[in-house]
Amino acid sequence: MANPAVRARIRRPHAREDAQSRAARNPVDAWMDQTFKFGGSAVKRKTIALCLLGLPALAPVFFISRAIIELNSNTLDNVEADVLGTGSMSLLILTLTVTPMVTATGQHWFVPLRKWYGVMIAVTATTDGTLALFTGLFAGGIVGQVTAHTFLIAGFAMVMLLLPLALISNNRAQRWLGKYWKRFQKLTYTIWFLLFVHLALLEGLGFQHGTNGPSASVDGNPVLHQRVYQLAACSLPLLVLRLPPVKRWVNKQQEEDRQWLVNLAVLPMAALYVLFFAFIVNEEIFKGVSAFRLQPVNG
Amino acid sequence: MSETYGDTYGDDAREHQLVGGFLIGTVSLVAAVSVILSLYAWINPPGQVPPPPPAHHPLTLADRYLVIAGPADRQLAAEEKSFLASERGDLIAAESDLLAEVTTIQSFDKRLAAIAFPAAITTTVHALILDDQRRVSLIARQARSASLRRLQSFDRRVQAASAAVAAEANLLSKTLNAPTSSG
Repeated sequence: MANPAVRARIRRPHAREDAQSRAARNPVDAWMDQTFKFGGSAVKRKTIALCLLGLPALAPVFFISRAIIELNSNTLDNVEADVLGTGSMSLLILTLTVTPMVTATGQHWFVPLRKWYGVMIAVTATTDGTLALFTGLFAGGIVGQVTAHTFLIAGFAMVMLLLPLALISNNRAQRWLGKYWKRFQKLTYTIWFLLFVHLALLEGLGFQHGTNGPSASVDGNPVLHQRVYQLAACSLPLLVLRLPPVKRWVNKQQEEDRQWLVNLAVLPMAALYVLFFAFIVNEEIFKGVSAFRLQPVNG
Repeated sequence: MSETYGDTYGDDAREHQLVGGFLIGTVSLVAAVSVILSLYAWINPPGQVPPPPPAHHPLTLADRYLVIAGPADRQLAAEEKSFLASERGDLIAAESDLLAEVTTIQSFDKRLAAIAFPAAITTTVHALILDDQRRVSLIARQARSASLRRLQSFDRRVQAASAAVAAEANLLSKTLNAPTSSG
């Protein structure tokens, strides 16, 4: 109050100004903000890019949709958990990838994907959980399907946490919750941890289960199809690029126009991420297509 | 005062920079090694590496035994059938069949002796070869018979010798976990 000039200097810029300044700062964001004529109307480049990047999030539910509509118990019993479970895992990884991508590249045009992928994880995981209640192999009815094994309890807990997060993902809930909204969203990290627990209980930490688990019917590689390894490899850059000292180091290099050094440092982690994520996608497509054809490939 | 604050702040910032740089550098190094190991696991999946063939595994020995016993059995059966037909009226043909049997049995024994069996099985193999040699010696004497009657007089003894060989061959087959062969 005493010195308005100082207050003006330290005032955080308005969100719109902030976005504009970012777009002006990063040439890729500026390029994505440009419009072009599409069917007689002006469309932003990033709209098309976001649609193309967002569409695959529908794939897991699409793959299993035919079996649900036709109530094909053979497909639901054999590959439902694989198709929707692997789909949920890949969507969680993609959701968690957005923030580190912003840190590493300085670009922001893809940030809306975080919300979309987040909502689609909830849809996919809830479908997975609901179908598992009716197609599970354990005795004891619906309660038995949820509590028969510790990995099921971890999976059920993930679904229970994802549902409220999806429900509060809209702008109205964000305004209503105010400062608590972001704290609620940090439950995503708990889900991330629970996914590790779920997969470790499901597959163990060695790759011996890979041969009779996910890999046998895909390409026979027990290491790169081991789900705990896949999640660990993909999580490495996502975790490291969230650490405050690393973020500060990256920001410093970008401020000093040394993006090449950031790229060099991130490259091995990105390679590891891409390598393992490719195997997740490979399995999802392989089993998903088999599920859609109602010729499930289990194992 | 402000200079001191600035220095302290600068030191903290530099320290954070160092920690951040060290962290990302170390993890990148770990990631690079992991990529190399993953690519190796991709090219050479552990599940697909064929196990080395066991040198003295009973199943392998059984396979090697059957490779020589099977053809020898079939050949010996054909020669015995021919001998049974000729011993009633054709001495020369019968002697020729008996000599063929001797050659077949001796060839089998020679090839059997060439297999490196473990000590526990060697005793049975030696007993089988010894019984076979007794049978060979008997058949050779039978082949030297001057008449059909003399030749036919050996039949019971040859049958007894063959039964002894068959018993040893069955014992060896059981030890090797292989299908029974008459040796």
